[in-house]
Amino acid sequence: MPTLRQQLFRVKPVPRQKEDVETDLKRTIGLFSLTMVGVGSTIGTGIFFILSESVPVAGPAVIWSFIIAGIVAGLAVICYAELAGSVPVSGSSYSYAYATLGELPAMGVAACLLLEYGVAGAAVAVGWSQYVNQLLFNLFGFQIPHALAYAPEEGGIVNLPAIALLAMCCFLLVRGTGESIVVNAIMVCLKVGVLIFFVLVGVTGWNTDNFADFAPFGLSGVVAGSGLIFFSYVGMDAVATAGDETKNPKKTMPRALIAALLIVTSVYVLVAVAALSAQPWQEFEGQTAGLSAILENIVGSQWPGTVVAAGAVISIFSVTLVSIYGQSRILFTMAGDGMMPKLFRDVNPRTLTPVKGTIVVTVVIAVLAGFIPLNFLAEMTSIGTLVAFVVVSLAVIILRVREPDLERGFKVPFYPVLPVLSIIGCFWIISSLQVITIVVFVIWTAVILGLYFVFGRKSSVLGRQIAEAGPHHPDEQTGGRP
Amino acid sequence: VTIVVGAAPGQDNRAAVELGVVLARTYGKTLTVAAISSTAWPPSRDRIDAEYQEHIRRIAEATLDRARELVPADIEADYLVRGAGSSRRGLLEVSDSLGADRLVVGPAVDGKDGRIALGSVSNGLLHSASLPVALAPAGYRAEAGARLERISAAYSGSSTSAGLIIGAAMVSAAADVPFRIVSFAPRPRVISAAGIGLRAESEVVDEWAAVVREHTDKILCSIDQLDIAPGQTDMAVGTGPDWAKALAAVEWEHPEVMMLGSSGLGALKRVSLGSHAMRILQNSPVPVVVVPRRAKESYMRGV
Repeated sequence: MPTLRQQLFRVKPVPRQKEDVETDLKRTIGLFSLTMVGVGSTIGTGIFFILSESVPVAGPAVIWSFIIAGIVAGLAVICYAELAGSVPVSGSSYSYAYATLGELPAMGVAACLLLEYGVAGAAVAVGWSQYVNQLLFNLFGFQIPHALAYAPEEGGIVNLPAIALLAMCCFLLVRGTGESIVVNAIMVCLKVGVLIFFVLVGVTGWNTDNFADFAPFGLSGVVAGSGLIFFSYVGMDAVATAGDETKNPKKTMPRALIAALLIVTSVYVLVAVAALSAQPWQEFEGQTAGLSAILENIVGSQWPGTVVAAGAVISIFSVTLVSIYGQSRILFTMAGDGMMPKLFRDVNPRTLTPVKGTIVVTVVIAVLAGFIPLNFLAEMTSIGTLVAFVVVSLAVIILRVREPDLERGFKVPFYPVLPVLSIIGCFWIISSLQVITIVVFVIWTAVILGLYFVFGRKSSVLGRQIAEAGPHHPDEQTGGRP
Repeated sequence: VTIVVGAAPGQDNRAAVELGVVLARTYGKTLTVAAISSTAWPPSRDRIDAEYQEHIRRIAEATLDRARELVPADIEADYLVRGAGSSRRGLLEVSDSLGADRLVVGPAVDGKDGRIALGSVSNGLLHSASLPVALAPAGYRAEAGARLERISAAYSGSSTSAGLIIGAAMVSAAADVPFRIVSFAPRPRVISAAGIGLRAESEVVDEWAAVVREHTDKILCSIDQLDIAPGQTDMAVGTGPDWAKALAAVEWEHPEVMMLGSSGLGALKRVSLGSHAMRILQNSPVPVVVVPRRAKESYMRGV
């Protein structure tokens, strides 16, 4: 029997890439496409509705919240890129953690990822329902009744549009849907276009007085705002995970990351400045479908708001789709490792999609979206992402110490300052989150790790393989790449 | 029992005849080459019409003469001209009256070389035939004396295709031809923004291949008559960026045929073959035998 320590820190060996995969998926992604992947997976996650949550916390200084969140996300994603480049495993940070840190840390990362994808999907669906309502009102003059469009805590019964959105996404994913790099680029242009449109129309309502009371809650307000806003940077890690298809990753990866980060942060800041200049910060609280409401106030007619609402409806749709998709595929991988029930591994031979897993994921997300208010969902997503980033940054340091000679596709500059700063930054933002968020997160992680101790540890496919290989391979059990 | 080959009057029917010859030789059946000449409707005693009918008939006879030259001596063959309101109906009537168990038709005139192209007749047959219809790709040729080297059955995961692979396994067992199961899928595209790596879907495809293997084993081993052990059946899975590459990813014998199931229910044309089946049909490098659901029962008995 392996010792407990050996079990918890057994490392999944890196499989040799299969020939057909190699020939089929060449390194085809260039700087532009990779930047687009980063921008596409990030922008549109939160900006359409996060202002009405974060401005009441930070005031106009929310601009700094965006910049702080952007810098912390950037530091973490650079660490992410090194980790992705040193493990020739394709996948999410769960796969990286399993191949470097071991089974238990991988489960911890998985707990974060499940939050990041699942809760982000729910949060985004809630934001979508606001814009759908706005769009319905602008176009047809009616709205879905309050009781059926808001979570119980916000005075409703259930958020029905959010659930409908998730059902639609689930349907598409079950049938099998994919997207090419080209489609991604088109979606990016659409999202950025709508936001630029908002900025251009928004500045016509410029009033400098609105910035007079710039930081009503001081630095703590700014950091608290970052905690909420961090959620708008979820998805930046997609750049790192696309690394194994990237041409010349050593150069392309950091450039794409920085370019994507600059584009995203600039757009966010511009949107925030335009919005803040148009109305006093006190008015943001409780504003639904924020961006289109602001434009309608400025212009005094409905059409600009309608344009923004339509853009939001389309782009948020794609974000929700991506959340369910990513979630189901991560669970698929975990089920293959024996870390999740076999149900998630079930591929339907007709559609070539993990149908059961997709449906389970959607149902869980739908329950969250239907009954839990937006700001809590946003914070939960943020904490999941932040903790995952901490683990990734730690992993970079651990790997540098443990395996200094490992060939890395990309190395973090200013080591060890940068990963350490990344960790500090993440904890700084985490410390600003509501206590309830942190408590729920700890409970959640404890539940996942508890399940691992009871079930996963024994059903681990890797554990079985090691047991079958015999007890004479101490290297494979305790770490180190074969 | 015989195999009917539909010969389109005035056209090059070599692909269909050669396929018919290979099938007849493999299954030990006779061949009936049928040319359908269209009858006048409503029937008229007009002289001009009668002359025209005679002309059409001569063309059909000439077509049969050319077909005769293509059929080698070891195949027992019959040739007939049948008048009918439409080619489709004529071929079905001939097949019916002879109790034929296969109907072979050639590609549409404008078919791309080496590919199956559905014309109006073959398309109509797919939706109304109650016997298996073999479709020859454009320019199909077989070597002299060739027998089928293998029969592939396409498995898609539906209950229709479950019935199909049983039937195909029986047919190949009866004819002593190697049998395998083929499954195809264009590799799904990863949604790049999901942050799970761009190879996530190849893992899904691997799992899918394992599921298909498991299903087909279960289906085939459940038939006592076949006496197949798990894992014994050959199985090929073709994936690629699109359907054409997925079908090309599998190696093919020459000559080989692929059996494909059709639900044969649809009022809408495309639906009855299934969109996947239609893609497989259009991209197949070997002749395809489309088995309508209606034919399945007799087919499963191994005729």
